[in-house]
Amino acid sequence: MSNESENDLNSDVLRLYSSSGHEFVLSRKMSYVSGTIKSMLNADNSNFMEDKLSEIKFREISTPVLEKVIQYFYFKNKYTNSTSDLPEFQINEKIVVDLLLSAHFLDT
Amino acid sequence: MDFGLNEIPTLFDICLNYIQPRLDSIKNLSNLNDDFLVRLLEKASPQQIILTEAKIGREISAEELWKKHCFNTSFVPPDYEVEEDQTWRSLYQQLTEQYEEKRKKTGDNLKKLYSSAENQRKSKQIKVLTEVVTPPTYRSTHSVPKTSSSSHSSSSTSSPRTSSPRTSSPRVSAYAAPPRQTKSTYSKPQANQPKLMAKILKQVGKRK
Repeated sequence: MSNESENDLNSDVLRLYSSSGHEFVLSRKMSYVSGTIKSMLNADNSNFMEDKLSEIKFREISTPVLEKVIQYFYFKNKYTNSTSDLPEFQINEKIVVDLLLSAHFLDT
Repeated sequence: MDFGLNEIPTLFDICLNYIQPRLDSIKNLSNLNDDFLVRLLEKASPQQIILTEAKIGREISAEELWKKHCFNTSFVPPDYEVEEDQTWRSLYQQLTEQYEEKRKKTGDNLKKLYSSAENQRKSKQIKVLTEVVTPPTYRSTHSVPKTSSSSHSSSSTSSPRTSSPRTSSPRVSAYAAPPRQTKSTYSKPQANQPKLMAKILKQVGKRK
């Protein structure tokens, strides 16, 4: 019983790595906000290694940018179908250009 | 149907909306390709496009944006198409130069009109002088007797100035006090003058 739940947990977990090797752990469901990640992990008969290993390495995305992207995943999950006031999603001016490029790449 | 649920913008749109009003301060714009830059500059003015190009050190291929700005000038008919050797960017520059030239000409013309109108207004203006200028040669050239009969005879003299001093400056004399010269020759009737006249008349009557 405990092994099954552990397997379920592991199957739900996704590890994202930044260009400098920082690891971010999040649930798969959260990452589906990104169209690119969703198509990699959720495709039928997926041959992506990332799907089998449940980890994706982004060589072009820096740690602060990837962190912000993951924050956005949670932000979107939290406020979609919500009637509460939508707060402003805070962005740092220093990373905004790279964040724009990453958002385009991740289809987010 | 919308039941008041939040519509979450994409992260891409959030970034675009963040950068658009801060084009002057955002660095690393040169990392973006022209497609991204065109999207960022959609709401930008022509001056901002030029400034951004100067900032990133290259020309952005943004003909659609220049086309939009050309039609915004209202000098270009809606169905206008650029010629083969012409770009919308160059057309916009031409239009701007022409507009500046016209603006300068119109400004100069207006200045001329205003200055001529001002001159005309000044020429029609009434000047009120507090001090009356006396003809300088009146006394020195002619020795005019002080009696009223002599002043009448002096009007037949050759000098037009002495004969009618008012003609020399009609605007001034209209509001000016009588000239000092005429004032000095004219003497008020003495209080005892009627008596004197009566006395003379008596004497004449006696002689008769």
